[in-house]
Amino acid sequence: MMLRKLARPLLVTALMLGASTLSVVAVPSSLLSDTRSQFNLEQAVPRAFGDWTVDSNIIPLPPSPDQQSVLNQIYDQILSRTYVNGKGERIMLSITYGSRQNQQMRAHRQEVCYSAQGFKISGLQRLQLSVGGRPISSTRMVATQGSRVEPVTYWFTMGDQVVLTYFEREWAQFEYALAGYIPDGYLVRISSISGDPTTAFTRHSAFAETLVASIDPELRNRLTGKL
Amino acid sequence: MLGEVSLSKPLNFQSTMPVLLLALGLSVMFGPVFIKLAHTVWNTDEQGHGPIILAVAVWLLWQRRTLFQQAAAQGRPAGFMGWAWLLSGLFIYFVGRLQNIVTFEMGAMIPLVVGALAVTFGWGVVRVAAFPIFFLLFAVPLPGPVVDAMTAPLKQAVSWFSEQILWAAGYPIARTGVILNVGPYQLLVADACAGLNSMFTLEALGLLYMNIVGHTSRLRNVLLAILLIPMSFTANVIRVMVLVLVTYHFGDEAGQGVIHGAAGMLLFVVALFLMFVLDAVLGFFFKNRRGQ
Repeated sequence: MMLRKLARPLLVTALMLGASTLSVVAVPSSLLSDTRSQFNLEQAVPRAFGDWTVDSNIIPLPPSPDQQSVLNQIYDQILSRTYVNGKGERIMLSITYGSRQNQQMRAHRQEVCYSAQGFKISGLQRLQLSVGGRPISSTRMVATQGSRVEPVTYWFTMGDQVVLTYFEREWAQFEYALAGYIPDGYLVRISSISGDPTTAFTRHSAFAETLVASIDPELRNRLTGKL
Repeated sequence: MLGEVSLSKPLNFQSTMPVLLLALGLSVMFGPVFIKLAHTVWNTDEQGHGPIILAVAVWLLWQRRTLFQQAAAQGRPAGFMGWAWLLSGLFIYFVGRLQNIVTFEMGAMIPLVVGALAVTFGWGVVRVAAFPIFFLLFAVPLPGPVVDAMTAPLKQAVSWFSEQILWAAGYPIARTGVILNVGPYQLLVADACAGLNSMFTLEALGLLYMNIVGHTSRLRNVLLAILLIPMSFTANVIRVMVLVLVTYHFGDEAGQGVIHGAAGMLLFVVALFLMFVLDAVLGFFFKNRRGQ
């Protein structure tokens, strides 16, 4: 009689304990980044390539202290440079690396980042670019603050693939979890100050093309996805 | 769940054991989630109210312990629907843990508690526990994409109202997006200033207040719940204006220091005061039935 009464609560508790055991077992704890070569972005990304050299006259604006603390939580490495070419055109490159892309605090959508800093976002579009012969699902937007008009091209990677939407990122994370790994990821952001977004975007693509041609093939895989 | 009833009836193994078993299951599942939240979301100013909500929900459940005994004695354990709630809770929990989505990890608690109570004690007990379970919703961290989508327009609106009112009051204020220029100072209306989370916290407090006061008119409760949203918005505009004024008159240091925290408190005081006033006003139109 007593056991009959307890059958249901016992079953329910068993299910609960089962679910929590299952989730402890299934959640990966090894880092994908520990299994392969690592890059120091400051060294691995050349300071001069093609017609482009780092413009040392321009020191990128440092983020405010509270922004910096958020950035440090999300990313392990942040590379931020301004390049200039022979014609005096300037392009800003930012590559960030995070070794744990399974967190709540992973790489941010840049339209959210920019608008949080007071920029107005327009012309937001997602499109397929081709960089170094590889398809890149990227995002373009124009961020405006006062007289500063900044066309931006960016994309994310997780492990060995380029990911665009929220769902794609969740799915990539899920696939790596099945393999037992927490994926790492890069954010590549190319932007310039220009009132002419169409020309600027074309330049961003050309810049990206030259950049990836000049880096280590292994890092190229990380930044543009493995074929 | 023993409480008063156990005074009349001797404490019996049969009636306490199911409750203890469920409590064990829930604590094994949600212990790790609470620990994680304590280090992350609950540790922030914006969503730090989570543990308080949980404590209140537990207190509300405890308050209803006699009613539980009655409902459990009369009710029959639920069938298919109860199991469906339970299993969907387990599934959401698993996805949340695996993908590290705190909204799911915490949110799973609601279907899980509903299902667990239904299949062990019956729907009567779920009905008794309905408000405390619903209240748990406010302890669930908001999903990141939702926060991102709502924060920006809220910030714009808060900045716009603050600018308009202060300009009308004769202050030298100008706005570009969410950046306010007042005199020589420039203030950025940050994400936390959007007031999204304080809106939810105030809504939770308001619902709790209504539940405790126990107004009999449903319309009065619904009106109050809806009006809480513009009220917390108003309180937030007041907070931003106070910060602008402090910065303008006393300098940047003052605006960013202790007063910044104090203004957060002010927001709650103002909003709660507005709520009581509003409830009193509504009281003129909706009389509580006698005998309540």
